Amino acid sequence: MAEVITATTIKPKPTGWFRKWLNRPGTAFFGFISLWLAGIILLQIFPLTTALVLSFTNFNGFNLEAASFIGWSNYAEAFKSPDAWFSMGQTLLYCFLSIPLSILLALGLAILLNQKMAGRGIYRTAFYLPTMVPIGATALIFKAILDSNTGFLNLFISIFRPGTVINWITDYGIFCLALMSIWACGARMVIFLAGLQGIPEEYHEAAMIDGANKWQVFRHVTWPLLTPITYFQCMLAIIEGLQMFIQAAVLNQSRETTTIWNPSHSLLVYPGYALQQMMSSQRFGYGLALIWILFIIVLIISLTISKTSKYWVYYAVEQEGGAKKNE
Amino acid sequence: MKKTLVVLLLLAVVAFGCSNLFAASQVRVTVMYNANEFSADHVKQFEAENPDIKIVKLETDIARFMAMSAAGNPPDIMRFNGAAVPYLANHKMIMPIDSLISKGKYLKKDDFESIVDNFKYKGKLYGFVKDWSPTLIGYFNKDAFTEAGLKFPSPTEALSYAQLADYARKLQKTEGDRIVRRGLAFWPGDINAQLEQTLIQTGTNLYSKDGSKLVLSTNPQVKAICKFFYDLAKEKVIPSPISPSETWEGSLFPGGRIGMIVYGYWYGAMSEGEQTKGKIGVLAAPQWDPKKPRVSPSFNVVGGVISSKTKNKEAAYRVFDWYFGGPPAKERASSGWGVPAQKSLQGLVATDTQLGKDRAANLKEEMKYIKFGNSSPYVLPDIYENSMRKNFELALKGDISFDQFLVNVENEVNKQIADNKASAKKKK
Repeated sequence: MAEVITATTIKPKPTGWFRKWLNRPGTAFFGFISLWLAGIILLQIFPLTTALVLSFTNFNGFNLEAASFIGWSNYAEAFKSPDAWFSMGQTLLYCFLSIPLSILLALGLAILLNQKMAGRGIYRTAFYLPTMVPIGATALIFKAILDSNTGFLNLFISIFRPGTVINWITDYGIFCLALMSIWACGARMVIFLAGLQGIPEEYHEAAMIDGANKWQVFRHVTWPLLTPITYFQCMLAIIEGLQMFIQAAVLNQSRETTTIWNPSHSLLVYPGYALQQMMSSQRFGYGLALIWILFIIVLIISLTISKTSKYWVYYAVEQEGGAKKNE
Repeated sequence: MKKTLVVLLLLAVVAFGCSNLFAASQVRVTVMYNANEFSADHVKQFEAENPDIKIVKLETDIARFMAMSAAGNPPDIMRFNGAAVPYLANHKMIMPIDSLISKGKYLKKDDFESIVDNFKYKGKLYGFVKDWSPTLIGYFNKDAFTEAGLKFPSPTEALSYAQLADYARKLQKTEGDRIVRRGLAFWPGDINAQLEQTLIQTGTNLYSKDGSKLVLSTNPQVKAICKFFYDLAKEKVIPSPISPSETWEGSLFPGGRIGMIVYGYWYGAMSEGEQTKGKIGVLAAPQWDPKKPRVSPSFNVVGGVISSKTKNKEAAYRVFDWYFGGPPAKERASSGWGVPAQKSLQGLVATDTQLGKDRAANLKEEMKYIKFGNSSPYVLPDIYENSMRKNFELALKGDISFDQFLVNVENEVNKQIADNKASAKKKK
């Protein structure tokens, strides 16, 4: 008869301190996460802490030895600076315009493209394509459309009112940026589409049998089941919107002198202002204070949305303190 | 088979070891410079001539430069504007090269043109000029002049600013509000540069003598010059934030989209295009006050500096000397993209076309009147440039008054100077 090998028989008996340490349950856990942990410490916690420390100094970006602690001065100045307020206003306006519009448009497109229709795959690809265009190329496309002198939009308007020149980019810069973001809403559309396809068809059929019309089916079945995805999209869009800078910088670069760090005032967004202060004005400490303020704003907004999500996001499991969910 | 593999493996190990030994015997010099100016071919050429030095070439990138500097390991050689030298030298970021010049092969002090002084601070030379340009030299489109019924200006006799503005208005061609041909464009297209250059002609400077203050509101010339450009911008005769060009004006001029372009001598090398071949003329640097002695300003002189933290001064200087005084300098002097900073390299540009002849005649004349401005050792020029651009845009859009524009710039820059000075004092 074959010998039965049990777990007890093969377990090595801990003898020395090393073996004992090796056999502790936490050792394997920390061993497995150690690489990730090293990455997060070196690439996130260390830079964030360094940035926080430097935001209390007058560091000019070049010479750490010459930097000295100046207390809360950088933060106080950020709250007094008209440029900081102006650029924050521009960033908030951008978020206010682009986030609801791009989410609504993406949802609308996803619902349309979830219907059974001829050429559905082509439409899905066509709406997703702008997402794959690099930001630089997108900016060039929009410059070709929006340029005051030779842009297609002004040329089109000139058919009705010859010689029309509207400075879209320099007078309505934030609106142009919002338009750019809406144009590339394909990525959001794909996420909504995935969400829609995850809703079992039986739910819709059951609602229809109960006499619900199409709007009622959407309002009481589809929408509640899409709220977790909408929540995720909103959170992502707000974070991206508050950090938006590259689009403004690239759209702005028409002249040699309006470099990435020196944007035109009409396209000055908050992260752009912070980077300008760091890279172009040699006020690294002040720029980092601005970035930390932005970080705190993003954190507050994210936490607020997260805390209020229980009131408007459908969870399969009841949330603590939350309102009663859609049944 | 096994033996062959073992022998091959051993040979590979020996070859790898030898290459590492060779690399270890080489001195590494890091050069942060624009790729189109310090090319890969330059690197190859230098390394072939100097096998003991290995060049690590980096593209000019202020963010990377800052990170490297903050880490105490800046590039050995960097591309910088002469106006930045007082600030960099004052912060001990760059080293004087006077003592190294005597040991070098190419750069000789008695061969230097006076423009080299742009890289001097407190009597010491901290860098060298790549090449330079009298920055108010311009070019005009002959077809546009003929169409507007204007006589071609002389390449050697200077127009006044008032004449230039008058020509610009006549050259401007519109369809409704749309600009078909812009009358005039200045390099680099922004008010900060226009003021800085013109101010040199008035014999005054942007900064007080010691560079501790930006002087705008108490200099009557500043207001007059800014008003001149403000009016042209309002009329949309020059590009500005209220009437921007769709792209860099330098690429619009060869296509006949701009009547006159005041971009400096260097631009002549690329001013002709398919439609405008043989139809480009040279404009002498215009004069702010024609009654005063003629002045041809130069600003934004680009060149290189050596870091004060370089680990191998001699090797770094050998690269520096070769690039600024050796074969690449000769190559640049013959290209017509700029004026060499050495006397021995003058006159190498080919003058076989009418434009080439006009450029040569013009340059010969302008060289008699060259002058350049001052800068502050307490701030880099970017702060003044940013503030000017921002406030000029606000003034043009009517968000602030014209007078407020100058006051804002002065306050913003002087506040930064005061902050930098205070922190420097505290540190001492």
